Amino acid sequence: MSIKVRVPTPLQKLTRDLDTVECNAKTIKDLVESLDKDYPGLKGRICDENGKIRRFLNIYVNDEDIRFLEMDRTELKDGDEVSIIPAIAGGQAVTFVSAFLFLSPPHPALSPFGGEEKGEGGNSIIWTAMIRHTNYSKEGKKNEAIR
Amino acid sequence: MSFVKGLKCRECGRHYPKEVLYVCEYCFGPLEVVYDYEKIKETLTKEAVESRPRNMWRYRELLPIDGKPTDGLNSGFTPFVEAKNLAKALGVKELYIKDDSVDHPTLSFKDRVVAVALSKAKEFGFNTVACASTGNLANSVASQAAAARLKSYIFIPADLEMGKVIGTLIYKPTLIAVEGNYDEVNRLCSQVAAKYKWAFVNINIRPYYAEGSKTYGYEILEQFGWKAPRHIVVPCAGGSLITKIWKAIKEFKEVGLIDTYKTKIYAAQANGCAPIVCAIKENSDIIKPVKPNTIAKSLAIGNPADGFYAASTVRESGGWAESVTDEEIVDAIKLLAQTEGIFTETAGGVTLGAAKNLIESGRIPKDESIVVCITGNGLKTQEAVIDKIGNPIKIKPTLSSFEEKVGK
Repeated sequence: MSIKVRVPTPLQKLTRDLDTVECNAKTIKDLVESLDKDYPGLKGRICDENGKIRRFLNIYVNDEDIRFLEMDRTELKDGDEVSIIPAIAGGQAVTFVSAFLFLSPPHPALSPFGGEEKGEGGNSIIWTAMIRHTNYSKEGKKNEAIR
Repeated sequence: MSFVKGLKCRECGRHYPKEVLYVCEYCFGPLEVVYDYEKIKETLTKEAVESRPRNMWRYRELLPIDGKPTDGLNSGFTPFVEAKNLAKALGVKELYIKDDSVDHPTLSFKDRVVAVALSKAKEFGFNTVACASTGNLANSVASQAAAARLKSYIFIPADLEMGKVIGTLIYKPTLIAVEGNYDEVNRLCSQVAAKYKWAFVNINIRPYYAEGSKTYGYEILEQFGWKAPRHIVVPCAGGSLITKIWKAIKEFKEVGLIDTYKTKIYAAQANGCAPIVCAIKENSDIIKPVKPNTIAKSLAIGNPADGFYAASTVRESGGWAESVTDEEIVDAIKLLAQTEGIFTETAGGVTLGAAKNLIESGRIPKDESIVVCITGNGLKTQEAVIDKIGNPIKIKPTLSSFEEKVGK
């Protein structure tokens, strides 16, 4: 079974700078063990000292947060995509999304799917429809398509 | 003079310097400001505080700036109202309203956090500030940035109340209305913050910004006579305020400004967005995100950043949590207005509605001191009540018309 795992920037030091790795696992718990064999030290970053997934790391299986599934008992099947995302995203933690979002400069970047209006006082109100696509999990796919 | 030692991860305890950092690079936990309380004890006495101007900076030693405060110099020290009429209506002995619906300059408790955030942003050398907001923060960042001559970029959900949109645009920021809910706005802003060198008050300078909320707690303690009330009911959106009120109580004890406390903290949310209340009631460590659906838009955060700590605060203090329906929110707004003459926004309706339920269910005893946290102003969320408060009586400009329509 091959499962694709997206790794956030801060953990890529441990995955030899790879942002996507593959592994075989039946559950999320398995997956963490399996990753740790290939990339020693990764488990210690993903899990706390009790072996529980760290509170400020979110894990998605095919776009679904495992908090809505079976947590670390969530079962995996061949071809599944797992994303590991810091809950307090941004800064060094941002990964797959940024390339897609910032292909263009600030304001035009926000409006490729929407329009721009000038408010009375010259205030710029930018209405955009693209934000619905900015979940990290979904973004992974989106981003790949663009690259 | 600074009393800040540095930053520390709330999860794993790793230490960091006091820089523009907000997430632990080891375990991804949020960072928090650490102070030198021994040094603070030497200068922060009751007498010193009482001799200072009546604004939030009177507790300056416990705020995370290095130099002199530059913003929000008239923010804070809002009324602490002994609510006798409301107490009678609810059948309780001792009830107080901490009334930030009249905070300066933008009529919500966000004026406190923004005062700290902007003072700190300037120390860090930023000339542009930004935020993701459900409205009140937008108002305050826009206003205080205008006064501070800083550029501001403000991101809000596109469906906000008109009062909050106008109350932002008037200061001429760049206002970006995002077609999405707050959680989506916040996610976008994390990405923008990573790309642009702006001070995002509630993202990359969040550890400092959030400390401003403590002044709401300090004022409750000072205005209650340098002691701690028994019960405090707090509205929860991202969950930061409730944790900071708790921190304020602990710090006042730590530096000797109060002798003791037996305070229980209660979390209030709307039924349509109650991830923190659910976690507390289910005694769960996991905050399950929700898609918000409530008239209390200022509390409509489905994936609260400090949700875990908010729930921990309630548990640690021995308090509880309650959520309310939209109808209960409106009823509570009307009750507060018609008993105490205070017009609060929907978040205040949530808090008072929850307090009422907690009292009725016996969770909060009727004979102990209770503080209800009112954090925003009703003039900003008029849509919530416009159809539920009747209409003016229209008459002709004659005495007979008056007597016919209104009578004696």
